[in-house]
Amino acid sequence: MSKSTVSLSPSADAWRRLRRNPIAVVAGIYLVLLLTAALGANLFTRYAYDFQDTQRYLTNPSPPDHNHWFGTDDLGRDVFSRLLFGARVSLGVTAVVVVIEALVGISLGLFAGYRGGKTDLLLMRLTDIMFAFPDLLLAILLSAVVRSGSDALPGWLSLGTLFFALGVVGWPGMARLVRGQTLALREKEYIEAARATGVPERDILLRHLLPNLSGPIIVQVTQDVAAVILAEATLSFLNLGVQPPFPSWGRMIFSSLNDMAAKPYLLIVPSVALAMTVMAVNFLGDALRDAFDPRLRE
Amino acid sequence: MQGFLIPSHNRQKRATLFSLVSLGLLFASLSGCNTTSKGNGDSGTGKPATENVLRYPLTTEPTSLDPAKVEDGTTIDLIQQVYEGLVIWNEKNEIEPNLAEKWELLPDRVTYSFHIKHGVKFHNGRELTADDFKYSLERACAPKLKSPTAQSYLKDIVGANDKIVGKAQDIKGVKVVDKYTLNITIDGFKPFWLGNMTYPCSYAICKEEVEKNGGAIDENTLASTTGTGPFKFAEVRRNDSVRLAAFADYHKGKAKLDGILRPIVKDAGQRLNKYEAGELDYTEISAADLDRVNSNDTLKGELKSFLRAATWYIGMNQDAKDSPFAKREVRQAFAMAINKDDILRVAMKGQADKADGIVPPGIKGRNENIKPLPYDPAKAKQLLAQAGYPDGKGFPALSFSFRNDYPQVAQTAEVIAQQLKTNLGIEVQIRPMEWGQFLVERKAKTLPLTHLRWGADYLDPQNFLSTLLHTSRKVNGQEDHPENGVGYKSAEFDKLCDAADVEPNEEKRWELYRKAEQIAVDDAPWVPLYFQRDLELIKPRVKNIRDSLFGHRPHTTTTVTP
Amino acid sequence: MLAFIVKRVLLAIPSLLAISFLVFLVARLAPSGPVEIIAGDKATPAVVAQLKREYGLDKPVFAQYVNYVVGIATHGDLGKSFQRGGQPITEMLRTDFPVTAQLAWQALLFAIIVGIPTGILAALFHNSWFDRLAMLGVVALVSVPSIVLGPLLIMVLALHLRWLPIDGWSTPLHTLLPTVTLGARSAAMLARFMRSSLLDVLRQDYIRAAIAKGYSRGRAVWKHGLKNALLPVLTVMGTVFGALLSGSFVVETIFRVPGIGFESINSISKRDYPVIQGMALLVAVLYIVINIAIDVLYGVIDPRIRSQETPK
Repeated sequence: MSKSTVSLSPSADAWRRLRRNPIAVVAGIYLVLLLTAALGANLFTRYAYDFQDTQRYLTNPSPPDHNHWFGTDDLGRDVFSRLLFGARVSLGVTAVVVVIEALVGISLGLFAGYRGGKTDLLLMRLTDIMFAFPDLLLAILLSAVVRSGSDALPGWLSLGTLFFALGVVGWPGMARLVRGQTLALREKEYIEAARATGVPERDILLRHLLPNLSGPIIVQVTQDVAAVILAEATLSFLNLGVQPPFPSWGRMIFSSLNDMAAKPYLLIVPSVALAMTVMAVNFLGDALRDAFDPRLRE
Repeated sequence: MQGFLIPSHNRQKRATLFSLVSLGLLFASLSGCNTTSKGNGDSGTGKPATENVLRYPLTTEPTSLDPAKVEDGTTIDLIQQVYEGLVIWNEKNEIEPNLAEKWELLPDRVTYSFHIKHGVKFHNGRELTADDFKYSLERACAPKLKSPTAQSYLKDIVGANDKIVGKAQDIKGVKVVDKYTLNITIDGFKPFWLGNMTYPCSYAICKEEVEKNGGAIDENTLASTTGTGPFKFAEVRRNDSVRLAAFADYHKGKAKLDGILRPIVKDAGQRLNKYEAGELDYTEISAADLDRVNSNDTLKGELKSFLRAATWYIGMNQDAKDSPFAKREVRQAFAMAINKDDILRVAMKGQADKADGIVPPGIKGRNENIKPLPYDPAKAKQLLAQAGYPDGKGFPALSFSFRNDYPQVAQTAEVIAQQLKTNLGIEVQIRPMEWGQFLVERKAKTLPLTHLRWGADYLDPQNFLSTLLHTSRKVNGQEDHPENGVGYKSAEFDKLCDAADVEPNEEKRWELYRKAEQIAVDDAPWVPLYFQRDLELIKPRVKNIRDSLFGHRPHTTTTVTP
Repeated sequence: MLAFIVKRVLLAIPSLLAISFLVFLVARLAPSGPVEIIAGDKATPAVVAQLKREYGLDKPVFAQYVNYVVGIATHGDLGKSFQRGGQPITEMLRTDFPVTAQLAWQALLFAIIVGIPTGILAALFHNSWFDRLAMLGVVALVSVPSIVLGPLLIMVLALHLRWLPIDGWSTPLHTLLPTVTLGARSAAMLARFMRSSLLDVLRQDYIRAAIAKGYSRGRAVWKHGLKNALLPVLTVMGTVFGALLSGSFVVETIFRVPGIGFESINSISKRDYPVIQGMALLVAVLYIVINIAIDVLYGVIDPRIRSQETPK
């Protein structure tokens, strides 16, 4: 029988090895801190993200001081506060999008890989078409178009267009990965045995196949997280993503461009936050890949 | 497909060589070799400042060289050096003769008889006659041409609408009496109408040259761009520049300049760079670059601002579904809760004039003693309570719409949103919109609260008051005042405007409009926020630029000293 | 080989049709159209309706699409821009595409010049300080998006040091910052891939054998290893190129480079359908052609691969 189903589960083994990787630990701690800051943004900030402190300061943007640790932006809003609430928007959007594309990608991939035949062919053609076009471009097109239609929706729902645009372009990668892995596992003895003993298809997919795919899936998810954070920031940068009054890192970078000679911190603060976050996710992703790599296993 | 793939392939080969060169340069500069560039490489369009040529940038690619189709300010400024109309705005914002040396209103009070100046030459040497105007106007109204402006500016001419919708071959109201006399009949006595004839869609074009180019006016055949203006197109290079050359036989005497060079510089920051480097003689700048200008004493001294005939306002639509703005108190409360000084300081960086009324300063007949509703949060709160919403309680959810492509518009909206929240306890939902979508919904009158601009079609109070705020009724399925986008209905205002619109005595007319404007300001269907100013840097070597509120600037008198 | 190319090209046709239809449909799903924008804020409904008729936008979407495809198939006509005075799209592509092509080429060259040697050195000195530093740099570069890198480069090199122009595209000097901004990520991708590919090769028996036979390690790698290690790198070129194409849209916007990316982003907000369609189609064609070319090249060099799929 396959070793992985009997001995220490691959996830537990990977987790053990991950903890021994210092870079991964640092990256993980940073992400946990960021997540806490984003979720508790109300607690850690003194000003609402859209509060315009224009009575105290006659000219804005104003440089960092004891009131506003990272200064204020061109409308007198607290940059620190916008950074944390921006993290909430960024990470929130990313979480939803990645869940959407993982759900769609995994289920389609499993199904196509296991069933084979026409289902598989259809899926592969579909992903071929999706792959024949750069993702970011498609996301730009989709969000530009869908957004103008959903503007009438109440505030937070306008984020829905982002979910949609990014979700649509995101799933094929996951679907292909899962399909490929499933294809390989399908012929394994324990799956054939399960099939022969009349285990229902649903149970084979969910109980037998899926757990064995957790490694590659987790690695793919981390990659997707990094990609979505970037894509969201880029779309917002192009004025196609999150709309005011919501803060967003991409938007903050964009609006700092005009003033960057005089007020460099307006550019540097969100830029560093964005780069560090993506970097942390990428480091974690690399560490995860190593951790799940069977060749590196003892 | 191959058509564009093949040349690009050749281009790619060159590009590879090119990139080797630039990579070398990259490493040179990374390793610390200071290059001579000062952040503004020579674009190849910059000419030494010694020539008698005025150099100022086009902020976009020219959209059209066809006067009947052009509608953006940038391109209008370009082509009105080349083509001209019967009349023109002067520096005092009055109409003065141009291709028509004089005109009179015939006793029927609806027919204008224009006397075309003798000896006016087209760039190709042919003399201009009344026939040319008939041809130009009818071409502008031809359905095939798809002019986006003809309907707005020519609709008053009898028969123009029939021509536009394809129901007539010619425009009934345009008649050539003789070689030098043109009669235009309009659909009613309109003392403000003549201003429409300053707009490009009524400019004279040269029939034989246009027909040679298949009826189109474009840069493919520069001869098709033949006009009567002080300059003619010498060269149009896409994505690079447009060059104009002085026309020697110009009817008012050859221009002082030998030519005009308009490099296409789309980015505001780069325009500033080029201006600083002396590659441009003047340039408009955006409010975002003000900090940079103000931190430099030379630039600061060369900064000029020009008032334009445009009012930015908040519109409170009474016709939107469940609109709270049907109540006068609510509108007044909003008007008194909005602090215009803060908007100008925070969002506009001080670069506009606070609006007291609706009609911009400089327009003849404007009410100089208009009394705006004051900024008074306490009174505003009280009014809101009177309307049934104490402290904003029970106020319906409201979205606040504006176009999303101008940063200062969004900023103004955000500042206002905070003022409404602080002063009235009302949280409006900010809604940046695509311009196209905004227009659709505004026309459907579904937007309750908007931030928008009105730019004059012609310089007359009528174009701000009657056009925008007269009660609109459906006549034959069409709104008779479609620009009243806020559903304002005031019998008293209507009466004054109706009387003013047909009043032949100018002073009496102004007086009626002044009264009407005060009524509208008190009723507050709008909150006028500010009057637009265009910011420009102008080198001291440039002198005698003609300007008007309308922004039309034929460079007939402009000079540059070396 | 010919059969292989023909098969790939035939397979690309449905993809192209699907993409063109998708873009066509997506652009028209928007509730507001270009006509309202052209007509402006002072137009009456009659004028709007008239313009719709003139542009053929009053017809059903599918009929419009058929017209479009027929136009392309019969005389390569991609339509005319709704803005820019009705400029034909083909003409627009002719002026804008070379700019994007130049940017992409330079960025690719930059990526290769920086990425490949870094990857090779990192693999040769596996686990050395150089290797670790290089791989750290790789993750860092992959993580810094162009919307961060571009503005930061402008701030330091153009605004503070004043060595380079801020933006624009008129001299070779102008092209430097966009090139580096666009190429940085690809350089990192190539370095990482080159390293792992060469590491795989170095573990192979024939390299060990060559060294055992008395070849120096360097000569063994040079004569036998490098070619085999470069092969897999070729397969990621498709991905790299896709990243460059996508990236050029953002980079052109940051640096105001007058290529197809900058114009597309402009056209999207103006709902200039023909331009969006034309540019999207061009990108798709390009992307597919490059991928086929890479497959063919790969097949020429290593016939065993011919039947396999290209990785994304």
